[in-house]
Amino acid sequence: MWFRVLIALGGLAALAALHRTLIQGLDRLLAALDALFDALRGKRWRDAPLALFLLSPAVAILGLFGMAPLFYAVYLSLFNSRRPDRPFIGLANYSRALTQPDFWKSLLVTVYYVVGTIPVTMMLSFLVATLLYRIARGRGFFRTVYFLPYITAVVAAATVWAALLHPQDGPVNALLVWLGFQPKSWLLESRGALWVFSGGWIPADIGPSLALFCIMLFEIWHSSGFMIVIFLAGLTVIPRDLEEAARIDGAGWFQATRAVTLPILSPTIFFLLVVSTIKAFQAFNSFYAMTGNGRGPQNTTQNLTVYIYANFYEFGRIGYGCAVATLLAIGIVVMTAVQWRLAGRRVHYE
Amino acid sequence: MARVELKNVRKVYPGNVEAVKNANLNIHDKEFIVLVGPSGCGKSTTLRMIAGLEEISDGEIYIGDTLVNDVPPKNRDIAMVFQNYALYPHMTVYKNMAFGLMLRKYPKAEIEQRVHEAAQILGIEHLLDRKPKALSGGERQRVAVGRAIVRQPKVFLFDEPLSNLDAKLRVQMRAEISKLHTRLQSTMIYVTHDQVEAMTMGDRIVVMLDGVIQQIAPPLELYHHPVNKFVAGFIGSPPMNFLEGDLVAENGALRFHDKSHTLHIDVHESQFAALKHYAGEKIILGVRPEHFLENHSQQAAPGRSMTANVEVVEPMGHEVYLYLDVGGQSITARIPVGETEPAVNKPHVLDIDTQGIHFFDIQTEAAIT
Repeated sequence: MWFRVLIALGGLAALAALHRTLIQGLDRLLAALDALFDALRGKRWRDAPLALFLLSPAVAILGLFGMAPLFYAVYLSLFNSRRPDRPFIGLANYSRALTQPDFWKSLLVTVYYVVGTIPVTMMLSFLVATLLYRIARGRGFFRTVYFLPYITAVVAAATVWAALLHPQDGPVNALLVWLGFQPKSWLLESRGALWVFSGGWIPADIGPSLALFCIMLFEIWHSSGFMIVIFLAGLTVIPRDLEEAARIDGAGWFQATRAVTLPILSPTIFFLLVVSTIKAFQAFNSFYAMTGNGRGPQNTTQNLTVYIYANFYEFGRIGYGCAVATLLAIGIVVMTAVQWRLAGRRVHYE
Repeated sequence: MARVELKNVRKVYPGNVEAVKNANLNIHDKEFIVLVGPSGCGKSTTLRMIAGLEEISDGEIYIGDTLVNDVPPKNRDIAMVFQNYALYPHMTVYKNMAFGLMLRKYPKAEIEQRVHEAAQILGIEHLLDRKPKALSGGERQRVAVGRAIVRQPKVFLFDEPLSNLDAKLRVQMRAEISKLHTRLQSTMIYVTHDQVEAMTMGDRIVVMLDGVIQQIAPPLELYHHPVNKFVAGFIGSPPMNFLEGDLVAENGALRFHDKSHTLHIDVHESQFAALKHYAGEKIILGVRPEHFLENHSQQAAPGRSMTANVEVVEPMGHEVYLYLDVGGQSITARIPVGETEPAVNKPHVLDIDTQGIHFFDIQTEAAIT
């Protein structure tokens, strides 16, 4: 009996000793690490390995999924991927793209889309945001309602829009007929939206096709919620007494908005402009889901992204597609730089 | 220039919160009037209703002879200086000042002349090309005042314009705004919670509490003849001391006993008529700190002296603030600097200038005069 008690006590003592040793060991390890980091911090050039170590997750993710594909695409664009031996052809894919009418047509579609959606979406969103800002009750409710389209999956929403605009079975045409108007072909119409709405007065080949116009409307509907929320956030930080000072100074709503609200909101506007321009240049989902193949009637909705996609997956022109993609990326960079230079100068940061 | 009149003006916010109750106020042409009171008393709301930034729920507001109830702010011919300056951050000082004139389509030469004139008055000519963020608080406040001056409005409105400045600058700007009033000779309505600003700047002061105008009077009248306990306590620094007690008639004279019956004050003959109805009742006695007089002999004179325990002594340089306890009630006295300083935790005898004391009804808190 006593013997067992002694063994138990001995065991406990051993456990305590082990525990103490472990704690001390851990302490020493941490102290050593501390010393190591201190030593690394001591000299500036010695910071590099530690910095790299700490940055490595971000570098790995960005490098693997961002930079590597980008450089690989540029690399691929220098080869002829249609031939089994994939010969190096230099900038031939680029020169071919720049001489292809399809490339220029896709660029025009992209430009129509960018110019047709962004200013309208921004103005509309700003207007809705200023109205929402003025109402005290139900602001949260309406903000949610306007934001709903943005959180809906583009493909799902675009499919619903395509069904609504169906020339035969769509409720939009049914409504038009009920109101006594001619039904339209909407997403199947390759002639210009301006031609359709001017009753043939404007030539059919001027401006975006009616099909592209529908996609633009969809985009305005889909992304205005996001802009409204951002504008509302921007408006709420403008001190109320600035608006009151402007009112006393003699400004009406329009003058106060133009001379006071908009300049103060300029960082918000600039941010939305840059981000949405980049997004519009890369638009693909809505084009693809609304027209079935992205190209639309007589390729009138084929923007550059759809064009790249078609070259990749339909024609197997990997090298050529990569060249167009590189051109698009360069275009976006140039466009953003231009915006930065022109608009950025007029942005007022508090 | 113009007079401003408020007739039975009320402001009721949603939820039936009555911010201003039946305000009647007649502000004369070229007058500098100060609305003063604690937070939430309705002074800023009153000013904002005059500006047209708040709709009035009831009543009439006149600027000049025009009823302005439905006139938008820009057509009221007023200018306002805000507490947070409300300068347009993206405009230069020049543009901030010129903005109102530009909107009113003044000729460029006149705008330039007016802005430079105002800048010269305020000593901010060298700042005209700067943006507000490059200015100090005091400079911003000058620009805000400048923006109001250039418009040459009928009425200037100031909404606590100095509360964001440090104490020294506040005193300086206070004097400058007063000088400006003398120079411009225009009607100015000034809102503050600081009774010192009110006393030093106003031709007349409007004291407000809980949306109700308590008293409208020139500074000294307000100081010497407050209509109620609130006004008496709000105006003056350190504030008036209040002691509760009984008024008793003794041998044909009226005498105030405090609750602990350690203090006995004879009522001055001039207050007899009003007070005799209160004989035998509870009453509030009000004494301003400066109406305690130093008793050099330290011998209590019956009926006009009190002995109190000194708790804190604050030498202010030219005078001394004494915080004392008399029968469990705290009081403050303000006495000239003597040869010896009163000792803390020792009884000290002070005389009371019985001509300067006030009495208030314990129920209504109205002054008994």
